[in-house]
Order: sequence, then C-alpha cells, then structure tokens
Amino acid sequence: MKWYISAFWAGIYLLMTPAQAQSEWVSLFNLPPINADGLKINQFGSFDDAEAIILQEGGVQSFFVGPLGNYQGNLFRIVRIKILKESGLNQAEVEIPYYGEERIMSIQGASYRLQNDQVVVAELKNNQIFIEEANKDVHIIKFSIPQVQVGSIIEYSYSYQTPYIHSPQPWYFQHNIPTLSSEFVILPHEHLEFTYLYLGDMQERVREVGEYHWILNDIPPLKEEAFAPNIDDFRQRMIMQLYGYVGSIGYQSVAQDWDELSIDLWNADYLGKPLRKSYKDLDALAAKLCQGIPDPKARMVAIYDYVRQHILWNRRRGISTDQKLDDIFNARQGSSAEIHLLLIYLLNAAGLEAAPLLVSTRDHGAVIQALPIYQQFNQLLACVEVGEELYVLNATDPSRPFNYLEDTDLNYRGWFMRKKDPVWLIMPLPGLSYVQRFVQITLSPEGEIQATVQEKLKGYPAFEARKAIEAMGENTYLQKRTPSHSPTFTVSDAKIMLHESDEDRLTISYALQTQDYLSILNDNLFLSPWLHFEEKEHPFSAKERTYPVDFQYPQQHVLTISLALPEGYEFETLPQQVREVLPGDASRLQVLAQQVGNLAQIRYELLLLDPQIQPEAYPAFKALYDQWLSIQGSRLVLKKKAE
Amino acid sequence: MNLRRLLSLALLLFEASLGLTQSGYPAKDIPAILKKDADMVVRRTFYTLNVEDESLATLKVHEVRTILNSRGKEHRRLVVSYDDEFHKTGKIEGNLYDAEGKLLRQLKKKEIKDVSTTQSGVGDSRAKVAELTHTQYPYTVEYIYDLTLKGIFYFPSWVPQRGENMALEQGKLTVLYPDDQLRYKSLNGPGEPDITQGEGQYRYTWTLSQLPPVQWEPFSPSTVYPRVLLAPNAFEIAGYRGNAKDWQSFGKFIYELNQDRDQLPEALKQEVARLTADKTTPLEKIEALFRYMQENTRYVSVQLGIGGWQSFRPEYVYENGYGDCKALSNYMKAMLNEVGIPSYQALVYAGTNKPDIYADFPGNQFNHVILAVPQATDTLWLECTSSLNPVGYLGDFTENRHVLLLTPEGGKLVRTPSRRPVENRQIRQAEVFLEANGNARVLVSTLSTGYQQEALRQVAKVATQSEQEDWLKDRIDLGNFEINSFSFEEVDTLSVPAYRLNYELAVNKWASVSGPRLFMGLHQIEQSHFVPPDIDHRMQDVEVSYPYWDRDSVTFHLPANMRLEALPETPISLENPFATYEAHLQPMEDGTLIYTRDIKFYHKRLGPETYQGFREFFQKVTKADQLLVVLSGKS
Repeated sequence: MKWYISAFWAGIYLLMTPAQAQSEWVSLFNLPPINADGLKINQFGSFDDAEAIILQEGGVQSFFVGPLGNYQGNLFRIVRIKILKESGLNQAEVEIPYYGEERIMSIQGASYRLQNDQVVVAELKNNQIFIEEANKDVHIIKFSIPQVQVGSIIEYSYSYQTPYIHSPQPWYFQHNIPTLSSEFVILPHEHLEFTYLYLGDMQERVREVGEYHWILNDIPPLKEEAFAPNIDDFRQRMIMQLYGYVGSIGYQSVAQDWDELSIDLWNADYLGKPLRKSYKDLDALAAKLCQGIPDPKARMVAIYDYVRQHILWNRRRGISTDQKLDDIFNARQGSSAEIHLLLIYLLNAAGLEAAPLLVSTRDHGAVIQALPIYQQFNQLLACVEVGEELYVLNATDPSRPFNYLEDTDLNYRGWFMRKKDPVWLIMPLPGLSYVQRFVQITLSPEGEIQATVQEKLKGYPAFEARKAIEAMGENTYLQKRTPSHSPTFTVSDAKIMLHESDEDRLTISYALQTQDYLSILNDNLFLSPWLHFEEKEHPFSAKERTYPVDFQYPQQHVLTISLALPEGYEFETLPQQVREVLPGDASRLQVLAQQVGNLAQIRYELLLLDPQIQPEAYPAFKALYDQWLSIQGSRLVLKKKAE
Repeated sequence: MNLRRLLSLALLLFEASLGLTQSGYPAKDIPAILKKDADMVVRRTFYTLNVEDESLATLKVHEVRTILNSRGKEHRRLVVSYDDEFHKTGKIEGNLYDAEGKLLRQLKKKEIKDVSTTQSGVGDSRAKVAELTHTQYPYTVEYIYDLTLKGIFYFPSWVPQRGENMALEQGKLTVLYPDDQLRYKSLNGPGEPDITQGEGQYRYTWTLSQLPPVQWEPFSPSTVYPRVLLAPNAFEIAGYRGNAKDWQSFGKFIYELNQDRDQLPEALKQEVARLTADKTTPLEKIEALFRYMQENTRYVSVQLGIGGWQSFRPEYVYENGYGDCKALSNYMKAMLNEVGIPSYQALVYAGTNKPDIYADFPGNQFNHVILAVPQATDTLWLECTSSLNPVGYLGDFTENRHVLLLTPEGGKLVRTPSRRPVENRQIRQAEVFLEANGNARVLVSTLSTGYQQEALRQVAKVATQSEQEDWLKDRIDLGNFEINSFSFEEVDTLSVPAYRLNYELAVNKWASVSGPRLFMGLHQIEQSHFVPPDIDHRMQDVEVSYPYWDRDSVTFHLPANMRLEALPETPISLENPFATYEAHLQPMEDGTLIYTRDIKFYHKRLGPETYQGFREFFQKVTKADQLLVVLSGKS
C-alpha cells in the first residue's frame, strides 16, 4: 500500500532532475580528495578492530515534481568506506532493494588503492550494474566495486527516487560497521511540509551545522547480543513525515493524529473496506460455528479455534491485504493481516465487537507514539471487546490457545483501531510461563539409580513443545527431549500428556535408570542431582551489555529432587540454602533443602518476573546467573553410617 | 445431425465419462504400507522428456501428491525452476482435492509467483512458485507443467522419491529419443527401461510403484533414493556443439568453449614478468603468481546464460579484480602459461562431505572449477577462489574425489589428493592451575593441520579480533569463563598447512565444589557428546570421509592443600574398524596429574553391519570423556 500525492499544475514548478544537482550535493559534504596520504591511514583509534569503517557518509533528501505531476522524493547518498580486514571486502558488494515505482538513478562507484605510492583508481562501469527482479514487488540493484583490497577506500553514490513521500526513508547515521562521520541534509520544498524526529540515544552529540543539516561523528557499530530486543530500535536515525502540501485545491494538511489515521484506515481498500463488505459464505460459517453457543466469550473462542486450525499462516506478517476475505478463506492461507481480518469479520458476523489492533513486533522495533505513521506497524491482530474485557487474538499458530499471543507481539503497545474511540493498549503480559521438573531418585547401595522424571510445562515452553511435537512427531520429540542417546542413562516409559482441555500446559514423564552415573569412593557416594538437566551454555558470559536483556515473558525454572537414601547411608552435608533476590523482585534464585527420615528434598528455582533487564542492572543479574550455573555443578555427598 | 458432429459429441461424452471416473485420488486408496511413517505420498509422478534434436527438448510433468498431515505441508508447494535463456516454462496447472477426491478448486494464474532464486552474486536462475493449500488432512494437490530446454547441455535427473517420510505410489519416466543411444544410469531401484520403437523415435520407460518411505542414514556414502540420471550424446547449446558420450568428448567441449579466452592484457604480461623475474624454479613462479592472484582478486559471481560454463577472459579479472571460479582459474592458467608452465582447469563437484560423482557416467555432474598444475612427479592443485589456502592445498572442499581435467586432447578423469589422519591433526597441550575454590587458570596451545586448520586459518586471517573472540567462546564448552588472551599463529614449517591457537582462560568453577571436596572433569575444554542415532535395519554402507587424529595432553596443577581422594581407572582403550581411542591418567611425583587422550578416525567405507559397533564406539567415547577425579582437603 502506497500513496501518491499529485502536485498542483505541475508545469509551474521547475523540473529539476536529481542527476543535475548531484555534483552540487557532493560539494555540501566537504569530501576531501582521496590521495596517497589518506590511503596510508590505517589507524582509527577505538575502531581499529573493525573489518571496515565508514569514513564519511552524506545524504541529501530533496523533493521535486515528476513528469506526471506528482511529487517525488529523492535521496542522494554518498558513502566512503575504508576496508581494514579481509572480511570487510564484502562492503564492496552492494545491493540496494527498491519497491514498486521507485527507481535507483545515477549510480557511481570507484575504488582507490595504493600501488608503488601512487593512487590507482578503478571506476565502476555501467555494464557492471545489474538489476534483479526479486519478485513482483521488489527489485534489487547489484554491483561489485572493482579492484578492492584490504587497505582500499571505496566510494559510491546513488539517488533513490520514490513517489511515496508520506514517510520518506529514514536517514541511518549508524551501521554495522563504525562510522566516522555521517551527515544528512534536507532541502525543503516550498510546497511540502514535513516533521522530523531524531531517534537514538546520541541526540546531544548531533551537531546542527545549518538549517536542516546535521552531522554525527564517531558512531560505534550496532552489535548483536544474546537475548537482546531488536537492536534496530537503538539505531541512530532521523525520520520524517509529511504533514502538509500544496495540491490541486491549494494547501492540504495530511497531518493526522492517530484517530484521524484510524478513520483513513477504515476507509482504505487494503484494510477497512474488506471488513465492511458482506460475504454470504462467511456469514453462514460464523452462524454455523456459533450455533448453540449463547455466551459471547465462548463464541469468540469457537471462531478463534476454527480460524487457527483451518487457515494456514504463510509466515508473512502484514498490515494490509489486496485480497477479498472470501478468497483468503478459499485459499486457506494468508498473512497475519489476512488471517486476522478474516477472523475479525467472522467475529463481527457472530455479533461480537472486534476490530484490528496494530502492533510492531519485537523484531520490527518499537512504535514511536509521537508519529502517527501507519508503516510503523508490521502486524495486524484481532481485538475483541466482550463486556468489560478486552481480548487480543493471534490465530497464526494452530497450537496456541486464544489467551496467548505470539511472543514477538508482546512489544509494549498496540493501537486498537476500534471504530468508535480508538485507543492505545498496553499489550497484556501473559501469566507466568514455566518449566517445572520433579525428579524422584532411588539409590541402591551398589550405586544404581532409578529415577522418575516429570516435566511440567506451562505457557510458551508448552507451545514450543507442542510445535516441535507437531513438526517431528511424538517419538522423535521424546528421543530429543530425554537423554535417549546418552551412553549413561536408559530411558523408559516416556510419555507426553497434552491436557486437551488446558492447551497451555503439557507434561512429559519418563523413567531413567543407570548403573554408572554416580561415583562410589571408599565409604562415600557422590551424586550430581541435576542428572542431564545441567545447562551447558552460559548466555551471559559478557561482562557488560550495551542493550537490555529481554526474556520476552515472565518465566520460572524449577527442579525439585526427592531422594530416597539407600539403606545404611546418610547425608554428609545437605546443599546450602540460597536465596538471592534482585531489586524490585525482578529476578530470584532460591535453593531449599530438607531431610525427613531417609528422604531428602531439594528445590532449585530461578524466577524471572521482569522480562527486561536494563544494562545498569546487568552486572547483578549476571552474578545471579553465574551462581545459578555453579549450583548446577555441585554434588551431593552421602556417606555410610557408622555401624 | 451429421456423423462428424455425432462423433465429436461421442468423444465429448467419452471424455466427460473419463473425467468422472478419473478420480481426484481419494486418500483411502493409498495402501497402508505406504502411509506408515509417511507425511506425504507421491500418488503419481509422470515425467515425459521428449528430446527433439540436439538442441531442443520438452519436459512434461504430471505430479500428484497427497499430504497426510501437517508435517507434510511443505510438499503442497510447486517450484518450477527456469532461467532466462535455456529453460523456459510453459503451462502450469494445478488442482486441489479433498480426502475423498472431490475437486475443491483449481490453481489461478495470478497465484503463480515468479521469483529470483539466485543465491549470491548476479545470475538468472528463477522459479515459478505455486501453493494449493488445504488444512483438513489428508488432501491432494495435482500439478501439470511443461518446461522447454532451449539448448541442451545436460538433462534433468528423475528423482521420484526425494526425501524422508515420503512414499511413492506410482512413478513413470518416459524419454522419447531420436535414436536408441540414450545414455542413462539407474540408481537404487528403477532398473533397466522398457524400450520400444515408434514414429522416428525410441521410447524409454521406467516405472516404479509402491515404495514406502526410506529414512536417511548418517554416515552414508551416497543417496538411498531411487534415481535415473540421463545424459546426451551430441548436444548443442547457445550455438556451441558438443558431445558427452565419454569424458574425453565432454571435457573437449568445455575446453573448446573456453579456448582462446586466455590472452593476457599487455600490462599483466609485464606484471607477470616482473613477479617471476628473480624466480628460478617452476614452484617459485607458481607461488609468486598464485600469491599475486590471492592478493589482487576476490570471488564475485556473475553468471548469465552461457556464462554459467564459459569463463570471462583474464582481462575481465585484471580490470575488475574479481571473478568466479571459472574466471579466476582461467586467469591463473593464463598467467602460468605466460611463464611457460602448462596447467589445466578441472571440473569438480565441490563441497565438504559430498558424495563423489558417478565416474562411469560422463556428463555434467560438476559445480566448481579448480586448477591442476602438472609437476615432475606429482600434480600441484590450486583453489583459485581462496585467498587463504597455501599454494597446492585444496582442502576438504574438493579433495579426495574425481575431477575432470580439461586438456587440449579432451577430458581426463583423475582424482584429487586424499588425506590420512596424520595430516589432519589437532595436537593440544593444556596446563590447568586449579585453586581450592574450584576456579582455574587454563593455558591451552593447539596445533592444527590439514582439514583441521581450515577453520582456524579462516578465523585468523579474515575475522576481526572481537569476532575471533566470539568464535573462540563458542568453541569452548565451559560454562562460566573469561578469555584472558588469545593468539593465532601460522606454522609453515610442516609439509601440510598448519595453524597454532594459543589462549588463556580464567574459568569459574572448573571443578565443582561440594563441602570439602572438589570434583574435576578431565576432558572439559572442547567436548563432543555426539552419538549417531540408533537405526533398526541399517541399509547403507558406513563411510568416514573425514580422517583425523586428535591428541590432548593436559597437566593439572592441584591446589597445595588438597589431596587426591579418588582417581578413575585408566588407561581406557577403545578400538573399532573406523577409529581408535585411548585415555590415560598419570599422577606425577611433583604432585601434578597428566591426562592424555588420543582419538583417531580413518578414511574408510565398510558394510552396513558395522554401524552398530560404530555407534557403540561413540557411546563409549562419550562416557570415557566424562571421567572425574575427586580432591579433598588435606586433614
């Protein structure tokens, strides 16, 4: 979905083609000539370890009226990159995707290298530039800068022309390699008005060197971290949004608040209109599904269950459709938007109040509430009002019950665009997800272990398990879940209980037997009660974090051991009791141990109530996690009772 | 009503009745034996390849698949690969049937997507993709499509059963060929074709039916699925004529396709002269030119049309500083030629752990090009797309397999070198300084050679320091540790490529603490818990294609106030036709403990009956690697 905006009397504006202005734009950036001295510089302080470094990057966003009389945006970009390592050579393979009627123009590129103290320039030729039609919507410009070696500087520039000017491409100051200088200029058009917004935590370092002219220096690269939210949320960038233009009937405001945007979306062919049409087959289906169900919530669940089990998600997210709802139904598959528009229609047909809820998933980034831009979202869900209760539904996974969303949907806020009184919703955090393991161990004096294991899963771990069972079948799943390939343990009686009435739970049980897991030395038995559950990896080995740790949902991990002592043995020592709580009760680690008669009970628990841990709180959290892992390595010592 | 109309009406009725009786493949008709362990059953797969002449053929495909459950749902998709020049798609039709065989709907034209399938670089491979989806299992999809081969270089293979959990009810391959000289190779079942003579054509037919699912088996030397390979004799593509009847002719075609594409630009001639001026032996010259190429070029793939098989000229590589495997090997060959050293490009089916080509079936089975430089006693092999390999080293990507040398006299099938365990070594020495609290400082020095040094070389030469550190962290199996320092070091004093990796770790809880005792594992730094799965009736041979030899020797320095409470029994010796293992622990007089571990795998292929023992060997190794010692406080 894209908008065009037609200018008033196209002829009266100067038709300035971007190519003509290109050299003028380059002059805005003060790019020094590339000479032998410049090429010899290989030291970049804290960025020395980078595979490549952006020495300078400049962008000019301008607007003009195209030959057809509609406004066009033009982003001229020039970038100069120093290649420092062999892995940085991939910077010379450039791919620029573009959509629909957009065009990439005036591509220029060259490499500079030193040979016998002379600068050798190799220019990109036109016949080295290729266009690939990736699919019907997307083309990709591909080119390889010639003659590039470690030590080379490469430079290329192009103009990205777009007729979709409501929200032009953001300017990214930050990349996956370090940037010494990134500079962005907007040339305002007298008949177009935009709002600008800087996003990222380096705003105070951005220098405004002229009107609509910004420079940011020494920008570190973005870095992936384990359990991080979408790092693109943290990327330094400038975004813009059109709010008014002069068109065929004079000045028109397109500035919208969220409510106005909702009205537009309800009138749009790609979103609201399909919901307002009438489809007899779908009406009949809704009636059939709700037959004999008076309770509105039960109706909602019946329709949700039908949709998740009968319409296959094609793995694409979306916020719009170009299909009719009955065609989506007949095709039995669709994007998330298509599935949920169909769901909303069926819910409405069954007399329920349902409307789209727009969210930006975690992997897509946070929504900036200050900017009422539809394209900030990437996911359309269904939201239902039943009396005072609100339910958000995501029907893309047949193994997930109605009261759980896909974990990536849980991105703080969603825009509930109900017809009357649209509103921001805080996305409901699900209840506690857990993996609780109950292990009963019987030891024989000869060192044989018999154990029964019960693993109770609730919430997301249960869905993951269901999905895996669906994907690989029960037997294969049980083989992977249990230590069936272990040379130490023999597994028997492995079973899965699916709790059909309670889909967010799942129980796995099995028996373990082994002769040679524990060590007997002299009069002592040594046993690691964690059996095969010990975690091998430490996801938080890094000393510090740049971005928060994000577990997505509250969760609990419990291992409860109950151990029957063999005849004639006693504990030398029971495990130490531990209780560590992080501030605000965000995370907790606890070990409890007690002995009653010849039975010992030990309970290990890690509870993560707040799924997000900020970088400031990370050291304490890491220490907690270190302890959690070291506890898992410790052993119980049993000794023979004195006769 | 005249007769003709009557006849056509009758025909119409006949067809209509056919249409009625021709079921939509009800799922209940599938025999139970095919459904066991199956997610999808290929009901019909009918391929008809009509070879009109040396440069034109059409392929008609009719395929019907019943999807039994959601695990089989990916098979609902049709993917028809084509490209801009040599493979053109024609009609594509599809039907969707429910479990009873009732037609639910037909595929609409607008549902067929057209996508690029070029993986990297610039290419023209594309595909038409369609999906007929239903969510009540079982259901059936039917696809009918045509493909025209404009220009022939090879024929598509017929693989009617392509994967696990997939059964075949009925398959038929028909080839209509101008004479009775069609070349084919039948693998795993299809057998000999039925051959009949028709109007100016011979008809070859293979049929297969009622094949239950076949499971993939680890350490198999080749595919277990039925397959018919086809290859042309005389052929023509893009105006070039060739013959694939034997390796000699096929090699000659490729050779001639690239003939006279090796002139060096004047500037490069001078460069070559300069680079080799002070070099006397051929090897020195080869090294100098190979290094020049490594330093001045990179791998970039641009393959369009005949460019998939024809090299760019040296001039292209010289001007751009890049090329693909054909262009770079041709470039190197031309430079060697300039200094009077003959060399030959060689076609290879590249890839780590890939099965060898079928040496008795000439034709295009290749995906890569390397360069062979004949020497007085041996052949020097060059991987021209690698900026890292030392001269003469191919690595596990192309070694130990058949390749086709392209010589002026035509193709010659030869083998690339293979390695013995002693060439692919990892010799690791470690010192562990254990403290009473279970923490330890650990110094490790590892020398890797041959295949085992390839990853190290890559990381050492290509990655940034922080990437190197991340790589090292991933490689170490300890829970909680920090890397104090690390370094990579190229070792060029051995007869095989070698790299040394040194690092120092601060390990939290190297030994676990329980009360007054420490429990310490002996083999901790890089563990393998891999045990191949249990297989009821192993069908395939067992092959180890990656020979290697690892030796660890660890010296433990124990805390002063601790004593050894218990030691495991060693040595442990394990033996198997494929491998040997030995672990040994020795307390020394100075209070240290020395642990050694030796494991060796041979390049070998043996019968399926060896699988169980092979698996048990892994189980025993895993167990032996878990040996513990117990330390306790001196009292």
